[in-house]
Amino acid sequence: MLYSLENLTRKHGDRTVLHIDKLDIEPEQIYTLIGPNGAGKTSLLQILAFLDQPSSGRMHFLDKEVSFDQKQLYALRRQVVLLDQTPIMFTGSVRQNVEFGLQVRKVARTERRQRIEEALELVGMERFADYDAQGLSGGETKRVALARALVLQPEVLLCDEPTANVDNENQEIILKIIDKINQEHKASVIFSTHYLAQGQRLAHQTLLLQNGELADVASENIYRVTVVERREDTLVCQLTGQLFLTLPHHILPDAVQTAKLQIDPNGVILNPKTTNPAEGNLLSGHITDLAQDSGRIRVVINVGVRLVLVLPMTQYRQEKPGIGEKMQIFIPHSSMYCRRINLTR
Amino acid sequence: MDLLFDSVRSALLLFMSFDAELVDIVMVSLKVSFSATLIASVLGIPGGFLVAYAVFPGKRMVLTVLNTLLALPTVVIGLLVYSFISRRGILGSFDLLYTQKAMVIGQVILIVPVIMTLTIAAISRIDKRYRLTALTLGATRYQMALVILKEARYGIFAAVIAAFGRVIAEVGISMMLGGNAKGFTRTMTTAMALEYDKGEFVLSVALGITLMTIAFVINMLFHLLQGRTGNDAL
Amino acid sequence: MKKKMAIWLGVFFLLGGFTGNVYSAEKVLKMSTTTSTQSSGLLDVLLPEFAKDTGIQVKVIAKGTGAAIRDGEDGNVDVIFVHAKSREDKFVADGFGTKRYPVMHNDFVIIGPAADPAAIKGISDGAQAFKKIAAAEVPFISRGDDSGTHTKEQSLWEKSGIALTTHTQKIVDKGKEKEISYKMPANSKAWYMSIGQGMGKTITFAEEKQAYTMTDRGTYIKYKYGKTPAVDLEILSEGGDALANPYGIIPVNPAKYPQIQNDLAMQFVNWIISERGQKLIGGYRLEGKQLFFPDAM
Repeated sequence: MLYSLENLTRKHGDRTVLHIDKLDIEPEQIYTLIGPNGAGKTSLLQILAFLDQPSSGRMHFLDKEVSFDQKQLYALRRQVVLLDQTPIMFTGSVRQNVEFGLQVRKVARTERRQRIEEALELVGMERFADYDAQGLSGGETKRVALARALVLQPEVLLCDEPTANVDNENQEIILKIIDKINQEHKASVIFSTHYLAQGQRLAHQTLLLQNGELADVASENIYRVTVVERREDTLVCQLTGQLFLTLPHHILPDAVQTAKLQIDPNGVILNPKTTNPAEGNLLSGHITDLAQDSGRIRVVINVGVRLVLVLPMTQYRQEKPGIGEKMQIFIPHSSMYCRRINLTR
Repeated sequence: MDLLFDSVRSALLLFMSFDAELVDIVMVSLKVSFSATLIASVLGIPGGFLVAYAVFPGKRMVLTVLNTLLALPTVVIGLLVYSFISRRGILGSFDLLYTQKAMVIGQVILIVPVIMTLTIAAISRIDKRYRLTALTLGATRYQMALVILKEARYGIFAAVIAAFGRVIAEVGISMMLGGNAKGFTRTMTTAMALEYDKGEFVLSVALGITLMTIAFVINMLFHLLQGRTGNDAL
Repeated sequence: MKKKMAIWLGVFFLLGGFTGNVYSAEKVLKMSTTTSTQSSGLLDVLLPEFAKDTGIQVKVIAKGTGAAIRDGEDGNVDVIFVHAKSREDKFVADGFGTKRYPVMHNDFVIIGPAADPAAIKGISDGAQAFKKIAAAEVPFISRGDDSGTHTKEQSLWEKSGIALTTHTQKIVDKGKEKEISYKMPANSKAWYMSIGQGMGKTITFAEEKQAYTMTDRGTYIKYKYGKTPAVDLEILSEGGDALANPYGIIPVNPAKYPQIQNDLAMQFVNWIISERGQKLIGGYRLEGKQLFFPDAM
């Protein structure tokens, strides 16, 4: 395992911002970390980057326990780099910024020069090497920050919202680089992003954080889908024999025919009042199971496949769905996301 | 008005004659002030950095004390140091009183709080991401500190300039601990105080004009230097 | 709580303002004098008696003789009470003062460490003692502040016959170039220190450096007997004519400045040279020792 987290918490005063019972992260994979703002994504990434300490719990990195004493942290930080959501450039040129981590590691001058060239080439910023780093645009800054991280050839690249606040062109460039270093250098990548963000399609694995806790999407509501029709702005996918869903067009690249689809149990609406077919899928099915789970109600409904949705207690009291009852559900596009099927594994 | 006019002409005469005594006085002033500023910077900048970054109980108290020390009158510092280094004091055997060293000691005490508080202010204005970025790129605590200090350099430079201005214009400590001995510890400010006491107002103001001119030139040099480091490498 | 304090502070300052006004409504004579008359405590005896006799308050500005004379020249005060006879005479000759009235004298003494490395103990001729100090090159602290004591010190160096240097400074005064100068022993950097401070400060400086200096007897007695810990310097040379220190009082010339209160100044002059004033001076004791000897009786 690359990382193993057990019973790990992070508190700010009385407020628990992160509480992870158990999390294993495999090496050489691309993980996405999704969840609403304030869910604890940045907190988790900072702990994984050894920039912050958990308040309690255990953490292993490459099967060794992390003790969080200063000396060990400096050694660990040299294997992991975190790319900030809005990276900041040091005073100096682009080249000097990329050089920083190498200087710190006392890499020889000639090797330094070569690696800087390569890193800047990788992000397509070689022409900017002698520019003032603090005068770059947002997208350029992100690319240079990526080069500054990649020049160190880290085992693990952590990225906080790498495609946020970046134009489409730069988003594509950044995602391609992430994919490339994972495939060519076998670097593990963990990046946080939104539902349905373009980057989602790169991921081998997805982690969902809600209120600082890992939500159980990784094992539930996962379906293998086949693309049967591509329309101008939507795709039609087949789940099983008779069940078809429409998805937003950009969720999968053109070449991909099969993928794994995940549906967020918190996003599915039971008994919807109004529905817009352009924004999701309306289905119906029989309730097969009801269970209480930490103050909320977990509803299992058979719509042709077994689907889990989570109801807040207040809504449950209003609707009072019963087992065997037939109900309508609406799956908004915004609670569906895809990850590719990794054929090599 | 006459006094000012006479003084300006006297200042010009002083400059043109390149008076040996004046040169002495200026050199003593500069030597003592530069030494004090240098030592106080070596103590105060890392000290400020530590206070700004360290988390410890009583930090607010430390900040309050530092801010109070900013208002410490030079006479109090003079008395305190005097009581330690006079022949009857604990450190009397070092024969420090009425030497340039004594003045430097007093002035360092005067401006370490200035440099520390302004350094703390400069560092707390610096974006937190600099620290995290340096660390994630593998910097040690020391290397990270250098990054922060570099990004905060304008504020810290301003702190050093302010401290220098404070000591070169200061008279209480120089008089009490230096003793205004001609050729040894007479500075521009103590010389001014003396000429005032003697009733030679013209000479006093002329010295004041000299002081202002030198302070101006030094500040210009500082700013040129600052402009250069601004474009400097990482 | 804070508000209450602010009100009290306000009341306090208002009261201060009123008493200040009351004070200034009285007859106040302004006098510049040397630090030695002030710090010897003599004025604390004379001025209350004068106020009792005449109802005139005296506002004392104590400075070095040079600065005190300058105050007179600038018309800042009504009368000056100083001790540098040649300069007092010049002050009158230049028309700044009306007349010099001799008041009293005391004397200067040369003090130094008890070990007396220059071996001047018992030499009453100050110039001779200075010559030995220069020959031995033992540390000597000079007031160097253009005061009466400094003037006297320079005259003793001249009389001692050793080589002197003169430092001259050109300045512009009232649109005209003027030179100010002072003398000191030549090639004396190793042992002669000019500190430009008052007598008391000079004595503590000399003690700190275990050096010789020249002081008026009054200030020395104060530092020797009136202070704990006592200054550990001894009188080594005293008594010669060259060390005599006459004080004079000079009313500032009212023709120069209209605001000069010549009538008050003359009342004070006449009082201090009267039998009553002179007796008070002669009777003044500091630590059991007579300091000043009346000259006007």
